[in-house]
Amino acid sequence: MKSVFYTLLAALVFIAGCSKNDTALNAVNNGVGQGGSLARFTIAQNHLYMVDGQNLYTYSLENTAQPMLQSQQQIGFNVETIYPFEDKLFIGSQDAMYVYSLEDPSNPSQLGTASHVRACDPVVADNDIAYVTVRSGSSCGGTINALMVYDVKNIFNPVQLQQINLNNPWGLGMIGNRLYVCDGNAGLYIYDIGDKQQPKFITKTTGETFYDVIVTDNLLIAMVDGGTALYKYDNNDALNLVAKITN
Amino acid sequence: MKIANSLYFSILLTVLVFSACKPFDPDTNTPPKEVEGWAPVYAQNTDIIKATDPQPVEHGGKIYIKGSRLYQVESGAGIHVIDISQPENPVKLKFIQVAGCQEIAINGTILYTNNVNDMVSIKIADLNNIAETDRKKDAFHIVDKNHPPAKGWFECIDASKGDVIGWENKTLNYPKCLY
Repeated sequence: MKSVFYTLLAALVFIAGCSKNDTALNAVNNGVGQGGSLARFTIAQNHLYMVDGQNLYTYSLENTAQPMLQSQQQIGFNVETIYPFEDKLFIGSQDAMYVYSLEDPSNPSQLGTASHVRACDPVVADNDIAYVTVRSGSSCGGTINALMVYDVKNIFNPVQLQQINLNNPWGLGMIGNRLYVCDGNAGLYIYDIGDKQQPKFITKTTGETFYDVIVTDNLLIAMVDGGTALYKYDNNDALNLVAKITN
Repeated sequence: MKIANSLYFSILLTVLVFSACKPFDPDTNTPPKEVEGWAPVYAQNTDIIKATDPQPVEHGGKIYIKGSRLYQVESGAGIHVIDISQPENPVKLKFIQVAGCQEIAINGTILYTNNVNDMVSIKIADLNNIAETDRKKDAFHIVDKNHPPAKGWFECIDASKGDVIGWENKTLNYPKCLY
């Protein structure tokens, strides 16, 4: 899903480069959109994947108006979020991170489980590195509040590379070599992930309670307490609040 | 949530201490006068999906971007459709009423969401004329209609008030149900 989006975005940016169009966000009627990292629905490879507390449901979108159930499988317990990356699905839960192959998109097969990884909300930078937020509180359990960096080259044996302690982190998003982490009312943290194994803190933005984020090439859309906040950002990592939609 | 959890453990502790003397019997476990807990949220005719005039964001949920539009779930109630082609001046276009709504994904002009525990497909090509194109009854279990999201005291379900489409955390007086 994301790669399709970025391809589209790249195409739009290319066009925008010629037409001096201020925004790369053009209304398009085809293609899929982009969700935040807290999503339980995601579209990849012309299939809709959904997780509830325990199961993964796979629907074919050959006929977009009438999805057809292809498979349903039990994953585990307390499943929280789903994240597509290339030909894989990363599924976060309160006690593990599950990885499914989309080699057969209509019937995802489990590649591995990183058990003992409390992965409320994982996103994946490449085939080797996963960023995971964990927070205390009942929806995710545990007592640790942190951004974790895992080497997932061997999904059966994930190696924790970093634990960056935070206040109460939720969703996260990436673009290029930047990682954005929503840390509740402590702010939106920006990390340089030029070295994917070692996120380097750059700066943070405060003033909202941040839960999730979607980053497009010129706009950062944040789910905040009470609604949504839109930020423009520049090459210097300065975030400028341009609008809030809260009532 | 955290409060509910710690509440649960205090209740559990109380119950354990209590049950050291005699077996736990919910009938004799006196409901507290005032306690943080969960109350069901009801709705009638939960399967009616329609686009209405824009609504205020009250319990903003998950977000989704497609083209120049931002979609934000109104937790349990529907989806705000917002034009952000001019980010400085976002314009709410419509509100899509979907009971129990929590999730969203869009492919082309079709929006997928949960209508309580039904999976619905909605054609949104014309926001003035949206149409449900498909419904899978009880496709998943996103909303628990019988139990609150966390252990503890909760307001008992009263089926005469409608269908349970979600739960809200609030202060309860003498709740009679314990999970």
